[in-house]
Amino acid sequence: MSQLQKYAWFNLAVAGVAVVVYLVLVPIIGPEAALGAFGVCGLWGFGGAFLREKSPAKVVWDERERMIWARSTRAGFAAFWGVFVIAAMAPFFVLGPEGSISVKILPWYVLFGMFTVWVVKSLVILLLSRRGGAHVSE
Amino acid sequence: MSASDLSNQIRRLRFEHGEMTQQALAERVGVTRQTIIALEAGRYVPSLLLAMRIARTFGVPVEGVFQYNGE
Repeated sequence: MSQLQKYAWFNLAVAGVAVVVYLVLVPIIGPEAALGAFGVCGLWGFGGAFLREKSPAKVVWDERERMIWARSTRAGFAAFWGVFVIAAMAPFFVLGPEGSISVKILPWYVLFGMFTVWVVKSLVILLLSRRGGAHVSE
Repeated sequence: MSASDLSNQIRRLRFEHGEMTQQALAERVGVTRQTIIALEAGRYVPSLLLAMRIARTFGVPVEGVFQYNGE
């Protein structure tokens, strides 16, 4: 398993833990307060440790890893855009043109947008790594 | 161009060069072992620079390692 795959599995594990903690907390403190469980995602910041060069002889990053990284990042942000559009348009269609939403929802848009980026990016890393990276180098 | 347009002799050349391991070749050309695996399986088309590094490692021209099968 490459370091990039370990990084992706780490991200997905953290995301999974966040979802489980949220589901556990919902019946205890309610759905809104339980959203704080997604603070677990701050652990993603430690994922960079997987991508650090451990010794000059052992290559961690090469052209294929860089391509997988670029393509997975693009996929993650494309998914983010999809989620953002749905999140922005849903209130219009659900509440109607005269409806209103609380501004406290807006930070959650950002949170779940970034959650989407990380999860989709990690899934695409695993998919492209399994398939050999990609068909053509960039 | 897809990966199927390009075949390669990396596996054969490795064995002809003292049964060089994938890891040894990866270290010689500066990539991960996973990239060598993907190359040998025909699932990845390398950059020109990597193709030249691999060819130089085996002491053959690039065409001796990679063959273009497309139109």
